[in-house]
Amino acid sequence: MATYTWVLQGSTPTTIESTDIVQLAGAGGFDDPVTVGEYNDTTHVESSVGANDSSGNTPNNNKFVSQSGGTGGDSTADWGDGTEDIDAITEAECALKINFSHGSAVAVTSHIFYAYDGSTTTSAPTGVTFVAAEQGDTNFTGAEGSGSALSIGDSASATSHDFYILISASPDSVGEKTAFTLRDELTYS
Amino acid sequence: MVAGKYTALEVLQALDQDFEFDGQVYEAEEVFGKFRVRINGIAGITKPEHIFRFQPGTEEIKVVVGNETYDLDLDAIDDGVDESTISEGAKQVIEAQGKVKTEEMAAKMSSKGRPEAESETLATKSEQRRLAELEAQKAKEDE
Repeated sequence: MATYTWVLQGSTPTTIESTDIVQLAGAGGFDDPVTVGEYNDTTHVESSVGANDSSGNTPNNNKFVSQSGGTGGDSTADWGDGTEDIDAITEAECALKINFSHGSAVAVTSHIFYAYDGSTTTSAPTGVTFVAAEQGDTNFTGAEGSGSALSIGDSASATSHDFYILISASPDSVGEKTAFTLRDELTYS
Repeated sequence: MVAGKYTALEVLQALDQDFEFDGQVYEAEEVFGKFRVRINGIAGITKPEHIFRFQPGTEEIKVVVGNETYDLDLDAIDDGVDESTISEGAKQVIEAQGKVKTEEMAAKMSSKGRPEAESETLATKSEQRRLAELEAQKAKEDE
């Protein structure tokens, strides 16, 4: 049987349940707004009833800084140590860890990750600029809608597959952004 | 080799042998597109720059080239090293892909009316604001 586990990494990992919200917030922490045009300073797991499920776990945050301002045109981000080239980030420093497991050893291919409006997978999230990168990438992908998804490398046969992803978002306008869903798709065989 | 990301060419080269078909000998980089290449469950590999990942815990991989199957052992990751590796070949491919991503991003941000330079400036303003808040808090504590 196949199992998907999403985790917001931090000093203690927080499992993201199917009804949870990944909250990208401002410097003030949980529920703090992000200024229009700026990127998230903190990341949290919010339960379906509004509780801070990642409280006390010091969750990781990956803040987009620039697409090509780093060494040799690399993207840069801040994950707590100041602005760095994103290919310097370690697996443990990425915000998101997605694990795919199966009772039998399977290979994972055609793996993509993106944000959409929660209704139509080809549609970008509403009112938000969203970027993502796989650990080891040199540049972010504007992963909005399935047609612009982050392409994650194939993973050879194993019973457990870990994928480490940086995520960052910025509001294009004022107001809470709820037409904004993260989606991961893969083929296993 | 240890667990991590590699190109298909690097894996075939790690087998350290030539591949013979119908009396003709081919080097690793010559088999792609000519013969079946399957690496540990991943089929249809037609390009030497095809990147894939061996998950930690993988100790042996099976490589199929044409009708022959080869075994390749992976070394256990050294104690104390949690991070799986990214090979030099994989890094070069990722870097080339990154340039394409940057071009696509520039077009996307332009259509949103958000040039990249703006995000750098705003990040700096955000940091300046936070610094001012911290200084104000410190001044209050010192009183």
